[in-house]
Amino acid sequence: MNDHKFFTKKILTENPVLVMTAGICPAVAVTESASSGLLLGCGTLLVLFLSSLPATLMKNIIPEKAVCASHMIIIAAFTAVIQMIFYSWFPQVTEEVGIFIPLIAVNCIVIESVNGFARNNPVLPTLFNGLGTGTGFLLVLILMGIIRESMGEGTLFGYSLFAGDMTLMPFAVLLPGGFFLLSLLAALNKHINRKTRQKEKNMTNNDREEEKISS
Amino acid sequence: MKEKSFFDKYMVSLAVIICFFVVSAGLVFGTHKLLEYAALQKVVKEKERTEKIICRNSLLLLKQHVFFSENSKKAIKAAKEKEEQEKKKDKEKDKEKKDEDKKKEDNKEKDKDNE
Repeated sequence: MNDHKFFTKKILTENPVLVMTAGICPAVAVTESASSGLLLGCGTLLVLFLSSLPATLMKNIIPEKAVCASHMIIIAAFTAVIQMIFYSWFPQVTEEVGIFIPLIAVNCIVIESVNGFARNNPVLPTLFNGLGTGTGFLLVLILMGIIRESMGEGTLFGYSLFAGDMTLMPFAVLLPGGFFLLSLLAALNKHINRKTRQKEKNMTNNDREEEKISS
Repeated sequence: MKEKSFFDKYMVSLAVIICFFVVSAGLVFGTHKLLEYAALQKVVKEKERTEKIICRNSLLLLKQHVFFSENSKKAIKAAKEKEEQEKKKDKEKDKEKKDEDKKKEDNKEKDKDNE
């Protein structure tokens, strides 16, 4: 498999939130506003990418018994670094996101990617996998944040979209609204995946038939 | 065969974990210091900027003050000159009045003498 396919695969066909249903808790809890979703998504992406690198580079040095602990230390260190940077650069949004930034360290997406994928694969696929997983998570968070904020509060990144205090669907900001939207996105993603798979199948069938005819 | 002790079993793993812990702590501490330094630099720059603004404003005030004091000096000078001129004029008027009075008195005396 080409290395870049690890990146594209993790965005649609193996999206961590929509397909693997991992990291749902921050995805629903934080996406009340688009800026919070963007910040948490960026934080997760950075922690994933930065932690994957040392984990894959030192996979032959670290003894089997110390792998899990070492990876946890790496992830925790990068999470602390990202949290400090976010606090100094975007204090208000970081305050809004709150506990979910330090909780990146125990996010199952990050742990699975670093502890599961990085220790068994070479550098480039690991980096592409980390980037793809992080980007998939980030895209879902941004999309959910944009939809929930615009529908529920009538604003986008803090700027009001409609005149006055008009809101289209106040239910979207609440937790049930988040779950509802997540399920809708998952269904949409599944539909797109099924369509693309069918197209690929048809293409391969056509190729086989052409080969049969030519032979 | 002698069984391995706990230390022999886990020595390498522990050493690796401790190494990772120390490096991670260093990374976090370094980032903290770097961010602190950046924040300090920002404050220093802000302070320099405000000091520059204050200096510029005080310079402007000083220029304004000099301009006003020069103007006021000129105004005082002009006022003094005007006052002197008015005094001169008054004196001349007084003189003229006195001359007229004298003339009138002389005329009256002449008239009396004629009578």
